[in-house]
Amino acid sequence: MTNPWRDDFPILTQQVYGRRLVYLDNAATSQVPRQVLERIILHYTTEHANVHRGVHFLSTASTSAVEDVRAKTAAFLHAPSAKNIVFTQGTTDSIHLVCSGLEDRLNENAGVLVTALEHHSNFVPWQQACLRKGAPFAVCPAPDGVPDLQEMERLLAGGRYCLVAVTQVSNLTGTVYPVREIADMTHRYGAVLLVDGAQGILHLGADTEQMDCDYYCFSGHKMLSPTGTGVLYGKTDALEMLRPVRSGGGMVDLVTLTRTTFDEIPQRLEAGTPNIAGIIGMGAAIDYLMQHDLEQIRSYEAGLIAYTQQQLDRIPSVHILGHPVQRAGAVSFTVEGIHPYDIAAMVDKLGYAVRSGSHCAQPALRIFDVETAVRVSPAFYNTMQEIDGFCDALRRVIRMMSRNSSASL
Amino acid sequence: MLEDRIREIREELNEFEDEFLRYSFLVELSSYVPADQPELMRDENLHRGCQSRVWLRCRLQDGMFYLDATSDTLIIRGVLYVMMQLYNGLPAEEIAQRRIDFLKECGLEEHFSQDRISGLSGIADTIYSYCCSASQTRENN
Repeated sequence: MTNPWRDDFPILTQQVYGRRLVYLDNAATSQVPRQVLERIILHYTTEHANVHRGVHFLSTASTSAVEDVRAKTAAFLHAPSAKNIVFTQGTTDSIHLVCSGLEDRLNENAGVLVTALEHHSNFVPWQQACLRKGAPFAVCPAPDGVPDLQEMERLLAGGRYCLVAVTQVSNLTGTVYPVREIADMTHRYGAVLLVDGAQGILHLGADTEQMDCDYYCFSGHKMLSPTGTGVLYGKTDALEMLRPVRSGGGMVDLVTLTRTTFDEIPQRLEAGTPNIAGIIGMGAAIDYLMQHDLEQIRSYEAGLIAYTQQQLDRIPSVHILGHPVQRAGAVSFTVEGIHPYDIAAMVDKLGYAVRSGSHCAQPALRIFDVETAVRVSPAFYNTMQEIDGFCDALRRVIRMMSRNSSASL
Repeated sequence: MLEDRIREIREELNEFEDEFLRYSFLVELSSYVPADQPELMRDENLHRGCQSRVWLRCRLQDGMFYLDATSDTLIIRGVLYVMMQLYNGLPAEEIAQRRIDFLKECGLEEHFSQDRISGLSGIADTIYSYCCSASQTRENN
């Protein structure tokens, strides 16, 4: 079957090291379709000016393009209004906006609960804020890549956590979190829920109404958009709770020599000139997804990730990390006796782009008693043939490496 | 002597037109470097990176420089073998004469990612600094 989306991604046609490029590192960043690139060129050639500043034609055109994206993003996330959408630089930035904005509320009886599978971006900011405030910081275990919800409930029942921060999809194991169940549990104990949607946004989308989370964060670049773009969705009262930690242009109401009053949300949380072209590009990415049959894309991706796991499982020395109920986006593994760096570096020379390392998830890797792993993360523009090719390349590398590593022992 | 060695290494590595074969060659070279060297693999000799770990120790023997090194990855062990071929047995004074850009001059720079380049260049710098202070000390004595 020919892939109906692949031709939209010009980067995928190139060769590396004289071989066809097979890009399987989408969990790090997805690729950008032609439609997004064309929209950015259109912006820079016809409407580029600063937003919310001038009355002139270009500024109005630019402002209206950015605000259109805000409305589009709200619809894409099933948010009640465009006012619930804050533009940021990415997931990490969104999480920091919430973390810094709420830090004053943390104390010895109001801490933060995360899970062991979190990306460092949804782990370290909370850990550090709690340390600064003397607030409890708890990590819910996730044995074999499955969050232990009973333990989460037990921790919440102690009444010492005011915020729960979980990922929608693990960037290491691809575990899909039962976000609605976690939201219900969090709210039962009077806490608020932040969801890190970096990995989930492309593969699952985000119906914030259904998820009922208080905050949802994602990066544009993991959803077919330029880097340096991101979104913080928040329920109205959840955004109102945030102290604006950055001040500057575009977020104030009245400034006198002695005091300042601030604009409404979301502008209050968006100091300085935003990434205008990036945001407009992200709008085109949302258009791209909305104009295609999302059900078809998602069921194709579900088949692709299941196939990836199945094919990797057939290679005897491969150990897949985690066995979640539902997996999306990524499969990570180790190979007996071979360092993940060697695997990723060698398959790269055969044209396969995969990631090795700690994946910014050291506490998650510790669950599996390893320090690094190889991660394969396909997206809808990848094919089963590419997965087959990767597994063949992996077998070749394992054969070659095993010969040499036994020689040195 | 150092310059001759650099040229030989560059010629040898450039024989491979295919990148996979060049890397396979580095992996083959790794088998000359023992993986398990408990005496060397102590925390004080550890250079930790995001991807791999390297243990190294510089020493002088009769005025000649020697590097003892190993890594938990085969490719880096292969590169360390190349480094040992380059430096081992040379007078520290000769190594101290010129700070070489190891990866670039040996024709390996384009083959490594930026984080690896800074890690491996760091090792070459460590060797250079060690030899500078060693030859300084010998001069003072």
